[in-house]
Amino acid sequence: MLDKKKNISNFQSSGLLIDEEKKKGIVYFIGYIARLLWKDKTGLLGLIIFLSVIFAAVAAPVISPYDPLEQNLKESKIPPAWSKNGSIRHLLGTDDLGRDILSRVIYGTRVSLTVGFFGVLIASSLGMIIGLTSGYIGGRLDNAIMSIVNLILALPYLVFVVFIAAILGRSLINVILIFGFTDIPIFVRVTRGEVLRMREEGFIEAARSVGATTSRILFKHVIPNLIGPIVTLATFEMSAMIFYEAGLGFLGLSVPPSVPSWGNMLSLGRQYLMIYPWIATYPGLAIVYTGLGINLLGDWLRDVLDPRLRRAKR
Amino acid sequence: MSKILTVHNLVIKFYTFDGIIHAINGISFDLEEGETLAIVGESGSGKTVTMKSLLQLLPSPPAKIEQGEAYFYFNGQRINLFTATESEINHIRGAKIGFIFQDALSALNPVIPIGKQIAESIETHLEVNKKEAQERAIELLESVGITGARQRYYAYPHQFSGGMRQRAMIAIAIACNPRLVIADEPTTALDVTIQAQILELVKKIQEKNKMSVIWITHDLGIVARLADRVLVMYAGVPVELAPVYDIYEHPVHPYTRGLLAALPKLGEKKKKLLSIEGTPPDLFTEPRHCAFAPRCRYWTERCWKENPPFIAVGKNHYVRCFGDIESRRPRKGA
Repeated sequence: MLDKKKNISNFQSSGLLIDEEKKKGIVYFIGYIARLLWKDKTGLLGLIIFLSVIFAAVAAPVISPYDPLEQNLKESKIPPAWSKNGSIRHLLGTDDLGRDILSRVIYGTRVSLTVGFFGVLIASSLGMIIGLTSGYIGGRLDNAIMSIVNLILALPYLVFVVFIAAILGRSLINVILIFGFTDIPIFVRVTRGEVLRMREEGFIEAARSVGATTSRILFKHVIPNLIGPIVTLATFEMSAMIFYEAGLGFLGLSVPPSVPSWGNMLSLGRQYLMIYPWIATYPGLAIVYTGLGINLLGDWLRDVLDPRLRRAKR
Repeated sequence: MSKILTVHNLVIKFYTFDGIIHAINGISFDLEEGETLAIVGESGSGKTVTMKSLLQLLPSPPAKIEQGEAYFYFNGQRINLFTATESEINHIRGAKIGFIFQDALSALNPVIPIGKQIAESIETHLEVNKKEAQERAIELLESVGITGARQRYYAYPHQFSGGMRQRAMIAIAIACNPRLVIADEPTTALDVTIQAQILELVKKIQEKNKMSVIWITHDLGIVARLADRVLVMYAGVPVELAPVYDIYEHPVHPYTRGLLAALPKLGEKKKKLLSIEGTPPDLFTEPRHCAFAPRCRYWTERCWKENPPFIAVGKNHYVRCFGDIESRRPRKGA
């Protein structure tokens, strides 16, 4: 079978063991990523913003001055600290029930990130599986799946989501599930497109010509090529979901009203927009800030994960 | 010398929206151990389709193997490549028959290091662990002439030049020491100096491993350099099959003669390059007569009525043509 004696050549090889090569690679890799981020500073900015949001979500109990649910009617409707009637005790003011805006904004990161992350997780994994099946098998199954996908994509998204949310009721799980499932078609479409492109490329045929089985081709060839586009798409969809959560919350269909979510805060603050504008403004700014960060990160990821860019890896 | 491949009466059709394409209309040939067969023909003559059908690489909804058998002989066994099951043919692919694709850049996965793609074939077919597969892949890279193989193992396809990529493709094809390698115009996209190196490389490997080679090309220069026998294809049928010397010195079929006459020769000063008038037929109509008749200078009435059979005109020399070989006179004014 295999001739293990190295009788092929008298060529001088470098002598470095392969394992050493790889270790050098991992440390090198981190430095490589750092350099890539430095080259494209908007990506760095996006990462910083994103990390700050994650930090806020994780450290919320520690960095929030107050409990976000704590009502204090005596201190209600106080404007931000720098305004005329403001107070240092509430940096961003309070809402109509006396809850501290800053604390609620900080805790709001938890809802947004949870919705965004798990929603995208559901949508991308299921969407990728369906898209792979559709694109790789092709034929009538592909036609059937794509008909359904196109039908769903043709519906006005917000109307669709609102309709379902109204039926299911307000809870965090429901919001995650709604976004997770309604976003599947986008992932299906992108995955399928990539799979079709790969089939035309030729390396799938080449893999078959050395006897790779279908499952091997899917896991070792197709999926590694999908990671780039899917991760990029997932990033942008996550940002979209955060915006949509705000939209749902604004309509009163997101998480229950006591839970501090930016959408809920917007909804609450709308009626006071002319008199106590800070109640809606700061959650709004938080949404924009987070969305910007994620989108900048997504742009950077899209540029970086494109394997066709000719850059020296070592 | 024993046969390792026999193809018999192969007919392949493609069922498309625009009609049925009669791609291959009856081809038979065989191959001995250690022999190099060159398959020559224009684009669309059916060279690649025939070869891919041997490994069941044709996409099966449009393509259909209407009839024919292809027997591959190894280890004293015989297997019909067309009726083999998916798992049987997977054992043949890569392990017993290797395939070199024409465009190395698109045949290689862009996100996987080249070394790993070579190791994949080894891991699939040979019972070795990952480390051994890695070592063998590095040996292979060295043997196909890629310097610094150990570092290059982790390089990506886009970091290689065209010639190096093609060498990597060759490494993948020969990784498990197959009995037969099918090379589909591997040097068409490369410049002549690299092409010469690749040809030398293949010859060297072939001699060392006693491998048979089927080389698809439209370059008669390569054929002269590499082939033991030559099969000329036109419009999905073989029109001439002969040892390489006979093809060049005594070509019989008008198409072969036309091809050779069209070669510009060094030192000859001619104002106009000779060509074969006309164009190949579109394959949507089932051929009821000789496919070359419209372009042939030696046609007879019979050529337009029936399909000529494959007849022997010399030792190991077959031609698909009516007409008298001895009295080859142009029919109409030269």
